[in-house]
Amino acid sequence: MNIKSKLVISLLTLAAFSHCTYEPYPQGKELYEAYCSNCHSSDGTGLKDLIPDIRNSTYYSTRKSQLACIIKHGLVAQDSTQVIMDMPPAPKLSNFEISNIINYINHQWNEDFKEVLILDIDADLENCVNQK
Amino acid sequence: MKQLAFLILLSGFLSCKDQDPLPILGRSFEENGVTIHHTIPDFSLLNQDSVYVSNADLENHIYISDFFFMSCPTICPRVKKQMLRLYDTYKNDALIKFVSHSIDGKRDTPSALKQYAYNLDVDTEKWMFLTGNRGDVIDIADDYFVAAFEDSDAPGGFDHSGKIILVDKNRHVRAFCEGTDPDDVTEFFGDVQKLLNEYKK
Repeated sequence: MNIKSKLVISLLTLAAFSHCTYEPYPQGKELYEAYCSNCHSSDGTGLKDLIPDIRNSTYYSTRKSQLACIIKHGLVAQDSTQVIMDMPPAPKLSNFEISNIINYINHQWNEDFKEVLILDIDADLENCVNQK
Repeated sequence: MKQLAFLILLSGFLSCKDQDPLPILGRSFEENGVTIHHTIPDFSLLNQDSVYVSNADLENHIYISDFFFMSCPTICPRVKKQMLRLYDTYKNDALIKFVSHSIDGKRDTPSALKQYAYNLDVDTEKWMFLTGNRGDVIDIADDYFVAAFEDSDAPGGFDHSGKIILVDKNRHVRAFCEGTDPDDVTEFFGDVQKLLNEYKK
């Protein structure tokens, strides 16, 4: 094998590996680890019926337009819902950061991945401010 | 050849270590020629059914214990996930019980803990959730070598460590692990098994 073909093979191998580990939302991943993973786990599985699983769960998928609000303002435990523990708010997160977190979660674990745009997040957060 | 000798020597040491019984942890002292070991003191705490539980309810059992509070936003869910791993493995072993202590007696009432156990989908005959006056639980945490105290600067209002502790039939602490570290918990499984073997010989 000449040097050229060796180079091509090693480049191809590198490309194959880096493709597998490619993370399109690196900031989303970091923020997820910092803000979400203590409770929802690094693998998104949550904790039985105490902390919802966010991988393709109905709980998650039926609340898609509320996600930004929930992340920013948290949830308060109520008898009328399945939530028995508060979810703490993260008021310091910017809309951009929230969109990265949501895109990371969706890309990582939810089958029908469709990127949310910052405009959607702006609108969702506007709506939840109005609700309050 | 040298390498082989080294490996044999190493495996010898490792297996020796494996055969040693678990140590009795904590401070011990001599009295009249008898060694007195650290022992979990008498306690009386409310369980998830508002029934007082004491050491007598754990007699003839070994138990795995942790300290937490329901609204804890940091390490508690991580530790509970590991407790659940242990529970799933040993839930059918009649010798073992699980005891979780809430350090937040004000908010974690027995009925709140009952709901918590229900949502965690565990049998409270096997895994009890105890609460009491703040001081009572925090005092007893010391005896399990767990740091727990109120701290208004800490997330959720309490600072505490995420240790999981193994206690034998004689109320002696025999092993512990860091409940936030899944690998450490994997090693802890070996300690639990070792203690079980002590009683099943």
